[in-house]
Parts: sequence; C-alpha cells; structure tokens
Amino acid sequence: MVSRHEGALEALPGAPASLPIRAARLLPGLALLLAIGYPAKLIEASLKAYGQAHHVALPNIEYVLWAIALGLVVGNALGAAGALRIFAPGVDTYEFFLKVGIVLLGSRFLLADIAKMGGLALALVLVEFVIAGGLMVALGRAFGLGPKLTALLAVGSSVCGVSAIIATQGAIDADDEDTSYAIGAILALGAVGLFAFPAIGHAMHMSDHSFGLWVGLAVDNTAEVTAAGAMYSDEAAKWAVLAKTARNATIGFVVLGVATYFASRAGKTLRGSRASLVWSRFPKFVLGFLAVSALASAHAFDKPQLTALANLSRWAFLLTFAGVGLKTNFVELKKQGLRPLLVGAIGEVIIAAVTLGAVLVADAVAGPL
Amino acid sequence: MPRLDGAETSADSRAFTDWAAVVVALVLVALVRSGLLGAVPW
Repeated sequence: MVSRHEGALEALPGAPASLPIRAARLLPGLALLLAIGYPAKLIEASLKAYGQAHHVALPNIEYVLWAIALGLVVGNALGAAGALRIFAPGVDTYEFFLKVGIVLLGSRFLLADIAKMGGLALALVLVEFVIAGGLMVALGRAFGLGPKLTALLAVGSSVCGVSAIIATQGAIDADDEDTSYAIGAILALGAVGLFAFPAIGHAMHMSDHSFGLWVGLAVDNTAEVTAAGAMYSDEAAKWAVLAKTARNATIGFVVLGVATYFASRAGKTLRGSRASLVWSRFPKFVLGFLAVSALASAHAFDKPQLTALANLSRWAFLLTFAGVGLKTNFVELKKQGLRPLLVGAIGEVIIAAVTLGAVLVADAVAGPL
Repeated sequence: MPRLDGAETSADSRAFTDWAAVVVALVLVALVRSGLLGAVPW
C-alpha cells in the first residue's frame, strides 16, 4: 500500500521469523492502537461531561474523529521521524479488527433486514457498477491511462477499494506500479470522503438509514465506510456496513468479469474453474457476519448479551479507526500520480452524486429507509 | 506466507485475515452466549 507508510510495511530483514517472534512484533503496534483509540474515547466522554457540568453547548465530536485525528498526528510524526517501522506489524492488524467488528455487528441485524436492505443495496450496487465502470473507462481514455490501471480504478471505485484492486491485480496480471497508483488514488480519495460525507449528510439533514446506505455505496474502503458512518451516528454506521458488505460480496464476480475481459482481449482463455476464482476472491468474513446474524434472528441472544456483542464490536472498530489514522500519510499521498488521482477524483464525485440521487429516489419510492 | 499482521498485499493474505477474524469473532460470540464473558463495558 503505497500511500500508507510504504516503507514501514516492508517485512523486517532476515529469514522468516518463528511464530513467537512474529507475535511479539505485533505488540508495539497493538499497544499503539490502544494508546490512540482509548484516549479518543476518553476525550469524547470528557468533553460531554464537561459540557453537561458547566452547561456549555460543546459540539459532540465522536470518538471516531478523535481516534483518526490522533492517529494522523502520531502516525505522520512517527513516519517523519522514521520510527514507525517498529509499530507497523501491529498497526496493520487494524484490517483484522475491522473484520472482527463487522462479524460481531451481525448480531444487530435480523436476516430479514439483511435480505431487504442488502437486496436494495445490491440493486443500487448494480446501477453503480454500470455507471462507475463506464465512467472510469471513459475518463481513463480521456486522461491517457492504460487499460489495466483504468480497470483497477474502476473496480476500486465501484466495488470495494483496496480489496477489489488487490483481488483483481492477480487476475489480470496488472503491473505493481499500476496497482500502487490505483490504491494510492483510492486511499487519498477515501481520506477526503471520510470528512466530506458526514458534512454533506448533516447539511442535507439525511436520516441515519439514508446516510448509511449512501456512504456504504459511495465510499470505497470498508474501514473508511465504517468510520464515516460512525461519525454520523451508530445507526448510520450499522446501515453503512450492511450496504458495504453487500458490495464486498460481489468482488468475486467482478474479478471474474474483468479477468474474462482481459483474457479474451489477449486472445486467451481463463485457466482453472470460474467458480474457484469467484470463491477465492469472496470476502469470507461476510459468511461470519451472516452466521452471527442468523443466530440473532433465531433469538440466540438475550438483551444483555446483544449489548455485550455490540460493545465488543465498538472496541474492535475503535482500534480500526486508530489504525486508519496511523496509516494515512500525507507526504506519501502527495507523491501519488496526478492523473490517476484526477481520474479517481472526478469519478468519485460523480459516483457520490449519482448514488446520493439513487438513495434519495429509493427513499422516496420505497418509503423512509 | 499468510500474515495476520495485515499488509494484505495478496488475495491469500486477505483470505487468511478474513478467516482469522471470523474464528475470533465466533469465539467471542460463544463466550458471551455461554456467560463466560459477561457485561462488556463501553
């Protein structure tokens, strides 16, 4: 991942380490995630308590924003001092915590909700695929980008950000450089979207459901989707994650489509079974999310247990948000190629506007979401 | 080699993280369900 402290992500030199040593290398970064996430939560609670005690109307700034802001400051300072390397393995576990949090969040959904909202999200995702795909191809041609870089940007913006780019890279034999540009552009735009989407949502007085659905459809990376939703409200984060999970579930099929296109373009046929390609790219944590939701639908949990699971999910997300801040490096973001960034930015703005329109239309047609 | 420490630079390492997250989350669910993990503060 180029724009997220590339150098720091390289494995430490030497032969492959044993399991205890690899586990020990996670500790500094894990401690840093906690050292940033927990104070963020304390700051939110302290400000709220101060406002109540002194009858002062302070803006309610969620822990999410504090965690990301603290992470940005500490991460960029450590990166500038060349001291991030020791923390990198542990900080990188934020993707793992994100997925743990999403699986646990399944307890807050009934399968019927998932079928209803997931179905709606999937229908909107199909619209988004067509628009984003066509748009990115047109923009890529207009800006003189190669077809593979254009394809990576298209899947990154329409499906699932970095996951989709990585999943597609291997299937179409894209260059590392193209992959880095595409990932850099998507991450840079995700960092902007993280703050822009909640601001727009508040300005438009969007409901939690509508905002969550919009963010889940328009923001590319799952971590940024969850963070932008949580900045709005807990309820918005819940629906944002559901819409994004529906989007994530389509990765395998999109990779298959793109790989088939590039194979036929080169006069080749795909090796191996299509089903195994789809399965290998399918995000397995979606199955965990559905399994926990099935348990909740079968009333396997009482109310205190549901609260405990929701809180465990929040703790996992807290570490995720700290990681998002820590891994976003402004110096590296600036180094990204300008043309992929421009193509991505133009595409993302149009996609955000189109998905916003689609969500508002769905809201009007299907009733308040 | 799959890496739990993120840096998910391949589909394999991403799948490994996915499965690890599912296992850990399901263990937490089992602990909560069985009562071994009681109230979780926030």
